[in-house]
Amino acid sequence: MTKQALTRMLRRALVAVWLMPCLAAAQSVQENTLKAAFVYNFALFTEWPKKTSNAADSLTICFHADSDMRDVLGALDGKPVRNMVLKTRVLGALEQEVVNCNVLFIDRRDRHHWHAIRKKLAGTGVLTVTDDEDIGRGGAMIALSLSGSKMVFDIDQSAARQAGLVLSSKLLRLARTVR
Amino acid sequence: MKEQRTIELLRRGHSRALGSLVVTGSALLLSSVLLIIFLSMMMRSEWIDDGIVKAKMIASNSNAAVLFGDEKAAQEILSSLDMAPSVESAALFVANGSILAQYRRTGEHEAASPAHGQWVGHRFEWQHFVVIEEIRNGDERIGLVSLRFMMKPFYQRLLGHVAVIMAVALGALLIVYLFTSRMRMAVSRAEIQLDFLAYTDPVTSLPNRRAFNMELESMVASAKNSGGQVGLILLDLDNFKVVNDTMGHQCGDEILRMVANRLTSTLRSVDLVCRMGGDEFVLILMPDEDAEIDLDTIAARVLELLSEPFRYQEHEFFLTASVGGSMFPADAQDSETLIRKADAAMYSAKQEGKNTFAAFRPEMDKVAQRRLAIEINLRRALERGELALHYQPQINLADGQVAGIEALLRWHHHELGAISPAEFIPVAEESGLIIDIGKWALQTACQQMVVWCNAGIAPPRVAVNLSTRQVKDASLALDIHAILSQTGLSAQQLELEITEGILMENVHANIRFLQQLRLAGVSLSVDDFGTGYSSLSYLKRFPVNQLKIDRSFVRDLPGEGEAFIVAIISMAHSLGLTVVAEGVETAEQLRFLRDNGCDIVQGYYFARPAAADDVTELLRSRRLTGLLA
Repeated sequence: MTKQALTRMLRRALVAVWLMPCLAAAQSVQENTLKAAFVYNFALFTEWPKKTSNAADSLTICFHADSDMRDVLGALDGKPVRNMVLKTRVLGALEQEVVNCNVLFIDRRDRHHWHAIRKKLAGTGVLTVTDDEDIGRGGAMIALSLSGSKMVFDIDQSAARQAGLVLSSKLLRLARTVR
Repeated sequence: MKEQRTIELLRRGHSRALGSLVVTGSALLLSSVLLIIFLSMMMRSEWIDDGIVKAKMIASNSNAAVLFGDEKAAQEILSSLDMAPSVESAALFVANGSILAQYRRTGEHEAASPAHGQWVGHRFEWQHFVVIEEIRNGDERIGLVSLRFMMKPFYQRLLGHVAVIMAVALGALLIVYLFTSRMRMAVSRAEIQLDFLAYTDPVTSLPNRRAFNMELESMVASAKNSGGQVGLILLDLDNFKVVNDTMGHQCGDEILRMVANRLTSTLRSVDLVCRMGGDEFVLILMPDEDAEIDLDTIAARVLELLSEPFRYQEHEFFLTASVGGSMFPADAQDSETLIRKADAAMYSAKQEGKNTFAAFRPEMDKVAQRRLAIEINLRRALERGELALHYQPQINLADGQVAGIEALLRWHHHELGAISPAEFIPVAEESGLIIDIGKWALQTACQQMVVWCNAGIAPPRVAVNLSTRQVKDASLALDIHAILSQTGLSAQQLELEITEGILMENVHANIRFLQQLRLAGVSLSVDDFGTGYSSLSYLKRFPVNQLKIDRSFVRDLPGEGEAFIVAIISMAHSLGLTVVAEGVETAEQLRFLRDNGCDIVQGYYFARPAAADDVTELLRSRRLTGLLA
């Protein structure tokens, strides 16, 4: 290791100590931003069956109005996905308003409604993404989680396949586990 | 000399083979170099394309990993480059330029990390080749992949190709060399063979005229330097034509070979026998250590050797030769003159009666020069009107009338004066001028005969002599026919005289030819009878009308010639031929001939040959018959 690299590390360590108090809040904001970026990337590597697309030129991401992710996901609005544009929709009750979505983000708040939501989604071609372990185990297609400091995801490919979605092999390769 | 030429020819063939090898080698080298340049350019562009494709594949495979910032996956993707041995190192960069993953081939000491610049594309260096390709998500650049290739495998492959090309070129060169050297050897052998043929007489295997000329020239040149002598003996077989004509060419060739063998056996190794062609041979003689060349002795030995009979199958032949000799430097200063002098000497020997040797004497030059002058002037004689026909009447002894008239050629040159037919006819014969002269004589005689016919004083026939060449000329019969129809003379009024020698030369052809003439109505007479040798059986078959006894027998009358003439007359009569005696000069001769039944006489006793006008006068006066009383 060169001397230069050593001093650079030392400097980073000092900055980290100095920032310690605001670290917790900052970390959760950062974590959510990363999750939102992942959700966006998932959309990039997913193909929807043609008939389910409500509009040919847009892709809709839906999430609960009370979600912690509301801001970061909302920021995705207007971003391009291949030849389409991302739209975001805020829902009041997922289990009732979930129609006309392409991607649905479900956090732990909706853990109790998951069964109802799942039933509602049956056969509708909506990519379900969650950051909750239970929902993940309960049949969500992509489940985000932290492994140490690293964001990872697991894929339930049979659920995706039932919904008629095709997840890119590149995405599958990056997943921690594929079921 | 022959060996030297052969070696020279072989060496030339060898150097030509080497020359063509150098040319082929250069052409092969040039094409190989061009091929290598072309190949290396092709390989380089393939190498670059391959690198770009690899970079694009990595870029395309890694876009998900870059988007998710997944270092592990990125690393895995880069690890797949392990399969591509030319990749030295590689790296993936995210959009902000920080490195996401890096690959470095194990075992590469100097594996520098791939440079990351702002540029995208490829850069070709001496030892390295770098490709930087974008990683895209749709239209957006999300990162860069940089691959660094080693050029070493490229050069190794190129070197392999170069080695193969060079090996192929060398192989081709070897094949070309073997092929061309074999061809060259064949060509050289053919050249040697041709050379041999060009300088050798095919019948006797002796050196031919060309070889003789070269050899004599070099011998004279060396004698000139050393002050030595060169002797030349020219030899012409006198009656060889008879052998060829009667026995065929196979026999003739065999006898020529025998002659060659005998001549070779008389000579020492320094001397040389060549065949000049036909029945002519030549001997080049070099002096013995200190003794002078004795042409007379050698020529005598040659004549003696040739006097032995030649045997072919059951036949025996006796050949004689006319031999002429000349010496360098006594007679001539160069080879060409030396040959001419020997030729003059040989000609003189022939004139002296054949089967003899004559060494060159200066006066022979004068003879030869006169011959040359005659030939040159004879060419112009016809157009200058110097030739004329004289006519000599022939008297029928039974009734004293003119039986015929013989046309005789005369030449009066404006400077040389009158030239005897005995001198110029042989020259005309040799040079071929006799054809035109003979035709002219025939035409003139016929025209004159027509004049006499119109005057009412014509004798029954006009006799014209034919020469050897004329008889051999295929168009003679046509010419005679044309002249007769042109002048309006009837064929019965024309008599042709052919010597015994000509008649016997080509018996079968002549019989056909004479029969044609006889059928047309022309009379035929055998001239100079008794000087050659006639076969009686042939004489019977020739469709001739009369025999003319040669003047040499009449000259011996009365006395020695008597018995011979009596015999000829009785033989001719028994064959149904009339007999003419030439050269009658005295009353005694006339009486003897008349007493022995000769039919016709001709000679000075009655009339000398004279110009047409004088003969016209003579015919008008009819005073010839008075002499018979």
